[in-house]
Amino acid sequence: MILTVRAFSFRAGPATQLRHISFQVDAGECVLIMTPILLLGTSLLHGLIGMYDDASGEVLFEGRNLAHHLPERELLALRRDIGLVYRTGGLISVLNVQENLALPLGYHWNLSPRALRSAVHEVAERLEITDLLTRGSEALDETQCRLVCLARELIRRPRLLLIDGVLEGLAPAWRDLMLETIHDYQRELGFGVVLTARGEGPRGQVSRVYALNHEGLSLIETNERGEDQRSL
Amino acid sequence: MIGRIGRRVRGIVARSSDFLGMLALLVMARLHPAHRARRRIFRTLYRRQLFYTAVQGLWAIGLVAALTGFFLAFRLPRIAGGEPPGPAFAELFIAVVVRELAPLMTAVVVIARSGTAVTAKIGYLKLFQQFEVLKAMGIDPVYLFLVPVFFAFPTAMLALVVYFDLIGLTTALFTLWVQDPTIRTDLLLDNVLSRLDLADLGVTIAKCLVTGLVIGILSIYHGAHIHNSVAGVARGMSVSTSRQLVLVLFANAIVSLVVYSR
Repeated sequence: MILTVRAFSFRAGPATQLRHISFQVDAGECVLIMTPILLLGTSLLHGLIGMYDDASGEVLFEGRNLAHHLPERELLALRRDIGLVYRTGGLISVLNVQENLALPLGYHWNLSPRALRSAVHEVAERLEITDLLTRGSEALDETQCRLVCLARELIRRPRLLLIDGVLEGLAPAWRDLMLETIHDYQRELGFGVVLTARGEGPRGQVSRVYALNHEGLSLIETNERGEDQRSL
Repeated sequence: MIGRIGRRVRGIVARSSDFLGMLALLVMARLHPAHRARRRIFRTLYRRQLFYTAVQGLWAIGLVAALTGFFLAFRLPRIAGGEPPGPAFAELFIAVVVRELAPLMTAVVVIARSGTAVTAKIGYLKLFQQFEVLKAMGIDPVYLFLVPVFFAFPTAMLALVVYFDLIGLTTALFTLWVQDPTIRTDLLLDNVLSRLDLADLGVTIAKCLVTGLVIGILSIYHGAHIHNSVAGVARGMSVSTSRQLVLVLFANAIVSLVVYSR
């Protein structure tokens, strides 16, 4: 299993507390978590990568429990292999789009400038954002921000991809492009996906569907259609 | 009243330990000598900050330096009582401009232009939770945004102070020549250069390093400690600027007193 979550509870600020979260994600698998409000999904994904101190239970990734108080350096090293795609914000405003895309790849992997440029252009072409590369990140609209966020996480070749309600409110063409690109990369790299959504998620394309509320996480649907239907 | 005093002392102690903690983080941030790509990122951000602080500040520093040189030379014939400028000009220029005005005025311009900008930049990064975005990607925000500023400000200060001295000296010599075309500006220049000694060089470097670090660290500190609102960023810039001005004046005075009062 890439990710194992057992009895995970945490507090994300004075008004948001989630309890008794348990689920697993395997390589090449996608899990959809439906939430009544998107903030719960955002809080859960942030909790999974160890952003909150007030947490208990287990979030096992690469044999380490992210819910424990790991040393900062170790936590940063583990997050190298986890991608988090933001629904809003998520880009570094003082960098342009190309720099945002290249940043985590350049920071974590000792690549040459040419290799970095090549990787950036490859993912930009897949998501049709090549013409945005020289723009400032603050000049992008919401759809473009989400595309760039997704590109930045895919370029890192993560082992686990957390997608925070990114498909909500998108035009069908962009939604299909994002899903198709995630599917292609997942087939190639074999990462696990945790996707949160409020409205209709891609239910026919996921292994399991959960419902999340303040009381916990409950399984509501399992896709029984076999191995080749497990990924997006 | 005792409670108020106690709260004030506790606040000062808390802010001081916060400040020292941030300083420790800056000092301990590894420069990743073996990781070429990270060094490349650091160099890009360091050069960018140097460009914003030093290169884009050239016009302002140049203007202040030119005005300083002009007024110094304009008043000199009256101060010298009709005597040829000669040694008096050299002594005045070194004592007033090189030792005091150049580091001080340069620091004031850097505070006004770059100190406020860095406080605002880091404040907005904090306000829009972009430090959390970096941490979520496994990237140390201290290394990425704070360390380049920490190194860029002293470097920029040194370059700008030398530039201030050059522009000030050139303008002063030109002003003297305009007032009296028979004056030997090459001799005046020789006078100035021969009177500069290692102490002056050392003091200039010390003041640039100290004031550059003070401006950089305080800008970062106040940006990182803004209250979570746009008004908080503005307030942080105001508080940061005031403290930087006071500390820079204080630091310059201390260094000059220690070196030149013997």
